[in-house]
Amino acid sequence: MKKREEVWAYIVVMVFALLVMAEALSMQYFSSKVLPLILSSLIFVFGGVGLTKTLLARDESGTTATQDETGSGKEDRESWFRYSLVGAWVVGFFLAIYLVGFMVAIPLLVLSYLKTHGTKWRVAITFAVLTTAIVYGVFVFALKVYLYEGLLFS
Amino acid sequence: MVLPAFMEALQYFTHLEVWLYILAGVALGLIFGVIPGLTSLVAMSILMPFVFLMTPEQALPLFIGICAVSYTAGAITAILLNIPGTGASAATLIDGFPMTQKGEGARALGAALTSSGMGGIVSVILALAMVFLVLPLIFAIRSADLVFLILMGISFIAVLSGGSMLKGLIAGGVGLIISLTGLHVITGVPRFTLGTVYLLDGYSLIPVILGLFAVPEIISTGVRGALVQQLDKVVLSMQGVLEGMKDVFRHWGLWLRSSIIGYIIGVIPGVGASTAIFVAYGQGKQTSKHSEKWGTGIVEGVIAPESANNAKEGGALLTTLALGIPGSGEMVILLGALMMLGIVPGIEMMTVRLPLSLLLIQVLFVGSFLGAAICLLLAPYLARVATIPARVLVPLVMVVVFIGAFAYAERFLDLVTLLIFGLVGLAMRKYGFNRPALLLGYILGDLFEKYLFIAYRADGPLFFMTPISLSVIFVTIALFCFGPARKLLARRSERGAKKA
Repeated sequence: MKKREEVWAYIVVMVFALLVMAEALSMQYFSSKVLPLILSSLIFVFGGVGLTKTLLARDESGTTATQDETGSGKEDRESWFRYSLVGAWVVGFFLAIYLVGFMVAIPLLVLSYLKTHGTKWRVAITFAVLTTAIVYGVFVFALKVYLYEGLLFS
Repeated sequence: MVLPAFMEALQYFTHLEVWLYILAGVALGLIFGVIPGLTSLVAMSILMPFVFLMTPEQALPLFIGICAVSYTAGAITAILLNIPGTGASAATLIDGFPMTQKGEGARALGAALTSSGMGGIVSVILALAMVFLVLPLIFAIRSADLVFLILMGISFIAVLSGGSMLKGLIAGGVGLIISLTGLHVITGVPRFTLGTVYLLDGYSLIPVILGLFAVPEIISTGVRGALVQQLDKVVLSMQGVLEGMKDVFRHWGLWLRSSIIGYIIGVIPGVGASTAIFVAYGQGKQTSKHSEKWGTGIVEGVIAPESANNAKEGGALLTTLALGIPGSGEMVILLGALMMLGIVPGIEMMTVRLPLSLLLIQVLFVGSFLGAAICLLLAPYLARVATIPARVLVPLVMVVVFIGAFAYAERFLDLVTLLIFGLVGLAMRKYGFNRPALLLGYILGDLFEKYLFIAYRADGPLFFMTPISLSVIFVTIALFCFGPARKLLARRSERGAKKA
């Protein structure tokens, strides 16, 4: 893992701890704020120790984050691109459920995932329809689970 | 007390329903154990939303069925394809795959599955014996002791389950903070609710578990694609499988030692199966008369790690049920399932619900046996499961995860929680923060605060001055000193060697 990324990870942890501390201080009673304050202080200290160790390790090794990245920069970008693609699909699935509900979102998103991964139309459509049918059969019909109908249909 | 409870637990096996749930768990454990990347953790996370539809006698055998076989199944791909289905099979392929290359795949598989199944059985026998020893300890535990037991559990998982100790502790602390979300039970003050009604009850357990464990693994599987592109026809001779089974009995000493090592490591919270298999492999090699042959494809190299990986579960299960300190990630999720079913591990599980505890130990026994038998019969077909393309698996499993997150409470905002914790889980996976530690902190946080309050009110600021609390504090401090002390000693010996 890149040291710069690790530094950022510890900074995020410390900011989180500070936010918790600020929120805890605004609470009404001592007994409700004492545990969050102790825990967030400990996390802040641990984050600080981690950050210092990472920064010192960088100084000792004499490398910089930019130097570190040049070797595998292209590989990293490709990896990020693939993560973004799947991540975007997950977020798309979430938004589709919000708008049109599970029973419409499922075939749409299964189809889109299979098509973006090079599956033939006929196979993709069959699989999407089959998945929707299984979901309906198992969850709605057999288990009597209510599935969200979406903003447009509810 | 124990024997009548044991007999009562045995009576559950007269119900067909219990067998069906065990079989369903075993089947899921085998499928998820074989597919690289999709572990038993993911299988259990996906099942969590449906726990509320079941009774404890239905849900818990299902979960234990998964635990009992996922490590057994991982050996199939490790031996036949050189890809460990789970991390706990990593040592198996050192000798298992060379055996396949030498044409002894069937023998390796026979030995692996028999030793794995029987390792689970040894651990169950040990766990049953330990129940007698654990009972007096359970009755002596007070609220103050529970505070430190919870802290010790989180510390063990954070420190010993690999990766950075600091990151593990941060994860455990963050989990505890997340558990504080909602109305404070003592003062009624809303904490970290962001002004919403949704968070007054805190974050729902289901979307948190699914987000932390299932979503990151599914996304990673989607990014990575299938590990196994194609599989040549696997032909396993029954004669070879039988030969492997006989090998376990020929090397019964190695099998027994490795199983006991697995059990002991399982008892220690946080030390995962990966440690157990390499410790067992190491001791097997050290005590072998022909240690130079280890790694070249010998059957002992398969028996040692496989006996240990399943044996670990018996030890982990007992500590989870008796003390509420889970020994592994799977046990953290089992603990979550117990909480969802309204069962608090500890005294309740060892007294009123002792038959249920013993049933779970018996289910582990049956599951280990069934899993090994099914694997022996269906190994070539199970190996083919690993070749299912990721593009088919990812949308299918993701659909189930989204439905599961929503179905539990039928709240759309649970899907938002799922996405947020999915992102958190993905970041934690990438940057090496310990996810089981966060989940354990989150699950036990409520109890931690409650016990702390009771102990403080009952015994004042010196509530920790009890023999059990002081012992637990000592063990926890020793745990933190162990790593730095080992490093210091290593540095000194290095300096000594340089001077010499």
